Amino acid sequence: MDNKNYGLWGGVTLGVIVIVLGLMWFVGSTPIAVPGGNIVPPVVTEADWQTGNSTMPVTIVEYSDFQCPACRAYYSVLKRLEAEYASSTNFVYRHFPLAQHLDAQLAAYAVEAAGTQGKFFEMHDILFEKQGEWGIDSSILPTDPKELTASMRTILETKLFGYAESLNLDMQKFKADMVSTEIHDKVTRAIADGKSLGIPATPTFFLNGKQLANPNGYDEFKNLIDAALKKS
Amino acid sequence: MQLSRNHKLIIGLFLGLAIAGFIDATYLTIEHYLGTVPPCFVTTGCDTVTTSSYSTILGVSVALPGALYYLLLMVLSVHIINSNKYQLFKRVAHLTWAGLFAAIYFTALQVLVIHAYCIYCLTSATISTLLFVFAHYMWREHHRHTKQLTHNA
Repeated sequence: MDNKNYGLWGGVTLGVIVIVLGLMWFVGSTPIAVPGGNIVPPVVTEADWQTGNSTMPVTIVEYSDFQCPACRAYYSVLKRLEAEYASSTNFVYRHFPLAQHLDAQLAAYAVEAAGTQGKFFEMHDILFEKQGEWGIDSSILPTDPKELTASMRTILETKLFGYAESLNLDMQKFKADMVSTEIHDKVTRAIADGKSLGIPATPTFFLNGKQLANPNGYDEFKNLIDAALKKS
Repeated sequence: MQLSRNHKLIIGLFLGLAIAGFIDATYLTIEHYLGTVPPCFVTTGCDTVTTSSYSTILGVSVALPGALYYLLLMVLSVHIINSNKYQLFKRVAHLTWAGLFAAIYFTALQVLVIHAYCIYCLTSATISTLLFVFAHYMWREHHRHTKQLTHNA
């Protein structure tokens, strides 16, 4: 190999290294998990369930679980804030059903199934408002949601299916979506994403990408949003 | 083989496409191993596609062999340009069948199975298809040229 070839292949190697390092720098500059529990969520995309849009100056991302009592408590706070800041704040909901809340994953399927018919937040609201009613005894919940027992089906029909009917959903589609691989995979992915970020508990909130210590009630949450709006 | 202006343009395009494919596939590989989802534009469902069960084979991101494939084509095209060994386009053309099959397979998965589209994957499929076309064109041109030389002799 002569000097010209050394120069050429050296240049090619250098070019490849620059491309790889440049891409790593580019990807690394987008928000990802930061060691030590101080985490930021991935950027909000159009695939997220959200009340507003990405052009709004404030974005609140919530990792939540439909069977978590604290999430239920924050649901009321968020409803007030959503109404008050509808034009300026984008509220994003992400699934993170905890293992100890076995019915929460099923509830996530129901909300996703309603979402395919444009009623994600309507079902989300019902499940939080009626959280005490629909909880199913964990002992009868099958490990694989496809293996629904007769008793499970009965409970589903009387509770989750009832809620879906009250939203005037296409029930045939809703029932099919509840057991669809696509929706199960979506929820499984959301859980895996949450785990990979190190989400410590539910609810976990992020305001413009920064993790919040859970605000102590409506007023504290409102102050945080107001401060973020002033900054923007 | 005496290269016409068109031939030079096509070889240049071939190298440019191989570099673009390498950047695209390497970006997806890095996103995969950092556990993040690339931002989606033009299409919807990049996250659905890049986190689906079809995005890995035996735990390895499918973007990784893609990046290595484009890297190999990059190196081969630089070698061909540098050494004037245009007969190597025959081997390159054979190699690009792999890219074409991968392009068809992954596009079919998005359309028929996943029902979501990833702009980075569609870009890669387009690049692989163009590389296939260009490599076969150059191989045919070289074959035609060699045949002509033999005939003249």
